[in-house]
Amino acid sequence: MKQLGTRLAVRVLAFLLALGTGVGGVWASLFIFSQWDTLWTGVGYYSSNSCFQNMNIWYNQVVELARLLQYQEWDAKLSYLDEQRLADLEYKLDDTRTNFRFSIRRNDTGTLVYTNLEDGASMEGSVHTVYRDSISMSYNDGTERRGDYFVWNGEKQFYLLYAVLDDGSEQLITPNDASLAAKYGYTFNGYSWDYDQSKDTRLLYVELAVEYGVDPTLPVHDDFYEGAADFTEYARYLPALAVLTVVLDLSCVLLCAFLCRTAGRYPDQKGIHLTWFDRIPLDLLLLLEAWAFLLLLAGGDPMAVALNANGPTTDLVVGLALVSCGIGLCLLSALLTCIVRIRARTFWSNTLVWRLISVLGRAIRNIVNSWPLTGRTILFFLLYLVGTVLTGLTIVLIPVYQGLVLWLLCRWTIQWKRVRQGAQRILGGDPNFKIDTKGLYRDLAEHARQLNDLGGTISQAVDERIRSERFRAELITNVSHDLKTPLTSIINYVDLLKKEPIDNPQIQSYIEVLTRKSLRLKKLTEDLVEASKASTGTLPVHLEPLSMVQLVQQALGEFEEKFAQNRLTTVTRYPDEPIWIQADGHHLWRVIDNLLSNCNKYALEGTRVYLDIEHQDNKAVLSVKNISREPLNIPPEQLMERFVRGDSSRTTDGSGLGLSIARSLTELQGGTFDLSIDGDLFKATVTFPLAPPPEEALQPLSPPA
Amino acid sequence: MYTILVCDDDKDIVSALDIYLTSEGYRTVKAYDGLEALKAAETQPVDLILMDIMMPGLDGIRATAKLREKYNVPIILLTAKSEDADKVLGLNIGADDYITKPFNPIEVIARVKSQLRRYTSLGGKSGGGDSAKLLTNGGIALDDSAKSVTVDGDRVNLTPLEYNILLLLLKNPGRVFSTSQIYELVWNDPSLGSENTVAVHIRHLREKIEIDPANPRYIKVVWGLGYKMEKI
Repeated sequence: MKQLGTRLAVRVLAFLLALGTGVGGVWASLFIFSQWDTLWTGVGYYSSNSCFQNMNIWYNQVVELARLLQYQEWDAKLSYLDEQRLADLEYKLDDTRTNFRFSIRRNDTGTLVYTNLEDGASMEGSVHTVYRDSISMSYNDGTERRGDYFVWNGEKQFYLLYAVLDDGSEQLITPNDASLAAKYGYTFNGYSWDYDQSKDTRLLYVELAVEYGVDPTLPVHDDFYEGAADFTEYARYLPALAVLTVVLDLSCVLLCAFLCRTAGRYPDQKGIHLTWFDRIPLDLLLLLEAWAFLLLLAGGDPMAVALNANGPTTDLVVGLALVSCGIGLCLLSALLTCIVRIRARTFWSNTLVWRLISVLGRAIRNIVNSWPLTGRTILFFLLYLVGTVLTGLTIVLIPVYQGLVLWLLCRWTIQWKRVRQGAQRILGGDPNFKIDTKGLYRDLAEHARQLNDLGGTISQAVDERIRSERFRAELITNVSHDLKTPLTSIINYVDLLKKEPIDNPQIQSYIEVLTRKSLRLKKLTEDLVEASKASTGTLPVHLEPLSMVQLVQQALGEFEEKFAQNRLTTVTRYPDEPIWIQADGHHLWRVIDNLLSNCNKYALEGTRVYLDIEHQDNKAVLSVKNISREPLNIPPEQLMERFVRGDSSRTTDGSGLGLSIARSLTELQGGTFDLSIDGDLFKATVTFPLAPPPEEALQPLSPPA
Repeated sequence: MYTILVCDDDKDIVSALDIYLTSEGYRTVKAYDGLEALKAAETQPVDLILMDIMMPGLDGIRATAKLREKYNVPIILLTAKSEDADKVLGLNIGADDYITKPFNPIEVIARVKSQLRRYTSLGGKSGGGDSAKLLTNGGIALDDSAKSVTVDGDRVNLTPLEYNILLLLLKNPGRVFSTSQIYELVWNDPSLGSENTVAVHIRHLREKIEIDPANPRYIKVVWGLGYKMEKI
């Protein structure tokens, strides 16, 4: 179920179905409720509400007719409008125009006043059910009696009656005159008088009996005829409709339950996934949906009224369906997003109100967290406000006070700038700089003191570092100097030994080893000094413009024979235009010397060494490539470290300092030195920024004298 | 027979130098610090002095300065420091040459010979010879009419190209020539990427003329610009 529910297509289908069944179910339910009696009372049309409603309308018309007839009898004449109304009613109530049957009789005598029954036909025989009712009417109702009044007789403890006679005179009636009192409709009850209008002879009073019913043969095509026809029709399919309604409502509820259960879950996603819709702030969303809901409702209302009045037409049905779908969409989407939000626990947090509250809360928390400081700020602000109010009373003081506050603010800004500039100086390489804290505001002074302390710590660290570097450089120089003196003796005496006549070939080979190793030691001490100087930067550097191509050519001239011994061929590629760089020629020669020595020492015999000079975005790039004899399983960064060599056996006569020296020297001159290794391909790159050519190079060469 | 004063605080070095120099036929006088060297120079005539710089008591630099007040014999400094500043200081106060430790005995002998030849030839033949045809710089003498070159009096055999390069450089001492300029002027061809050839020829030339080709005295490499004949 859950897995099925996470498929988007299924979800969309369920949503649409829920919408459809919901709308259909609501309308079907409404219809069923309106036809409730038709479905459930089941006693037939003549006991149904629609029939009663109709009969009621007709009965009211009969009452009106009866009144008009009675007035006609009493007055002998009706007003024009009443006459028209009477004719109208008689016309409408004619038995050829309605299936409604009625008779009006005097209640007291039973004399027939008016009927639309055929002559001689009995009421019981003509209608389905006879309904009876009475109408009371009086002429001059109450006009005479209005003058009657009671007078309290204190002695006898009852009321005396004064009745007004037809001629306008008053007559006193005591309880003893019961017959006279009865003539005026009064009876004494031992204390006061009861009045019965019908017994008051001064009034014209009549009670009419009305009998009515509907002719079940329905000879006339009228409301009753149509009602009966509709009733029988509805009665036929209402049960099926009721079942459909139940099915629709049930399936809507089930689909909604299914959608609620799967809301927010998606395939391949753990937990609850929020769509863009679920990210809209809830209060905003609900407000919008309520607005849309009300709009749709207001639009649907006249349509529903029109439907009731005129019956279903295509445009009404379509309109109502659209409105219903819109309302359903609002409700269903609101429900689902609420459920998703509850599951993702963003129901409250993703509302505008919540955000507003949390922003306020954070602001308050921040203020509280840095309390003493913010407290001071608030205090000063309040003081400022009080000052503003107080000075506001005197116009003269306003500019003085506001000017003072502005001056204080500017003073703060200036002091702050002083602190900032001080911090900049400390960071910019003058850690000994001390910010003057005299006259600073309290908090700023504290900040400045902290910065001063920081600067002191930095300068101490820097001093220590410089001292240790210098110490190291001196140590290496002194040690190597002390090494050189004994080394001189070793080399010289080994040489002297060599010159002695020695027949033993063993001894000669020993001397050979001594020679080789003492020379190696010599080279090592020289490299050590150079490496230490180059890396500590104690070497003087004289930068001048020089041609990289020229330098490489000169270097290759130096190496030609050494390369030839190892059968290494050089392949060079130079740019067409001359390339001038700013460098120290001697140091750069040492860099290239080291690189070419490396090739000579470590390149595979009989291979080619590639030297390329390229011009790349304002830079001159020299790359030296060769194929290594030994496998290079060392990362290039490590190769540049001191004493690391490509051959781990260290059989060759390198010191392991060559590449380190080369890099240090290159960087000393402002260039960059890079190594890369791709299998056995060793590549070194030396990059220098381009420099303008020296002036004499631009002039054509004059032949020498 | 020349007398050479050897002065170093390391006795082993002194005796090694003594062995080399006597085997070359020189007479040696030994000293173990600056003061002894001064005394030795006063007590007997000396033709050349080998002087260590780092010595207890009077060091090599101050001893050289003192010696220069009275004598103009060649002084070669021995130094364990390879800094240029030390060399310049030594040369400024009157030393004629320097050798860095640890040194090669052959180099020491070569430099001693060179200094002695220059010292004696300067003393004997100054101003002599056909100056129009003779180009000299330091110990190098090039006779263009005879097409012969001597270094410190020793004849050097040069190929025609080497000779022409040396001639070009000697005619313009101190001036820097780039490889392509040298090619165009010596080969008389437009240079079309054959500059490596020039560098190789110059190295050969250096090997024939210089005592230590890696640290040339005459034909200096100006890296990235070219070559020049250092004026001595």
